[in-house]
Amino acid sequence: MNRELIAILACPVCKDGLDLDVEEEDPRSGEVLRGNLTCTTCGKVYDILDGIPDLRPPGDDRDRDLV
Amino acid sequence: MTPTPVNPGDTFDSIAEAFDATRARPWSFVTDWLEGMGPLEGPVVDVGCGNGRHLAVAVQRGMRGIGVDLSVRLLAIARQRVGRDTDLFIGDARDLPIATDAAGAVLAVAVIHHIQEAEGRKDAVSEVRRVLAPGGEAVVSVWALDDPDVALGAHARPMEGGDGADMLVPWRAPGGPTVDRYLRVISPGELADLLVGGGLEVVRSWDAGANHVALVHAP
Repeated sequence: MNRELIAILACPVCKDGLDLDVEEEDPRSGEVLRGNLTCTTCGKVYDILDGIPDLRPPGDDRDRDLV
Repeated sequence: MTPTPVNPGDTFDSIAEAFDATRARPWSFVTDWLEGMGPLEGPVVDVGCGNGRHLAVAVQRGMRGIGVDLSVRLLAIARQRVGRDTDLFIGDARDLPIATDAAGAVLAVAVIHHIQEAEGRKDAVSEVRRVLAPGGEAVVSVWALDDPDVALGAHARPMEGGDGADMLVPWRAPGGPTVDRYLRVISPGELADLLVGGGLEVVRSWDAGANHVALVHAP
């Protein structure tokens, strides 16, 4: 994940902004490889793994309706 | 035996590599639209970007691209195709993790028909509208399974317990298991109603191959 992306990301639930916490970055490109994003309003934490944030809404319970 | 449809992310995770092999070329209606586009206020957001074949066209044109999908394995394939400067993330079309008015253009190709609940399909369209900057355009397409020839060709069959428009379409991976994909039959009229109901203006709608396509505008 590129750091500038934070400007247009939003919490999938509140649509408010996210704070970025970096645990590991690519030393050359500065790409965030591991860390998390925390909603400034509801506090929900979203993980970043292998450079890809997982920004599904918590639970995503509605998916179970598909069964 | 009653087949069980699953979360589209799980479905496409299970067939990602074989699916990618059959979906290498971008659709020309998407390419034409991207190539005719002037400067944008924000990135091109591809909702349900899959293997990134359309995002790659935007990136090749020098546009900033962002891809969202529920399938992490398709995103891994997309990563190879679009490079590391293009951001990809796991997200749900019904609750996009993108700020309001932030997208210059939105693609939602072959994604809304995978959402089983009517409310979810409405949410997905409302989300396209919300993230699009005022004046921005989006292309939305659905598989034309209301055409009996298309449905027959796809081996689509009604889902047990569905309302007749809930279909299962088998994916037969070479040498692998057959996986049922959930597909909702959406006619051109239903697509237009969905889009207008979500606050979008339909600029043009047409059929491209076995797809109903609409070009929409955010007022």
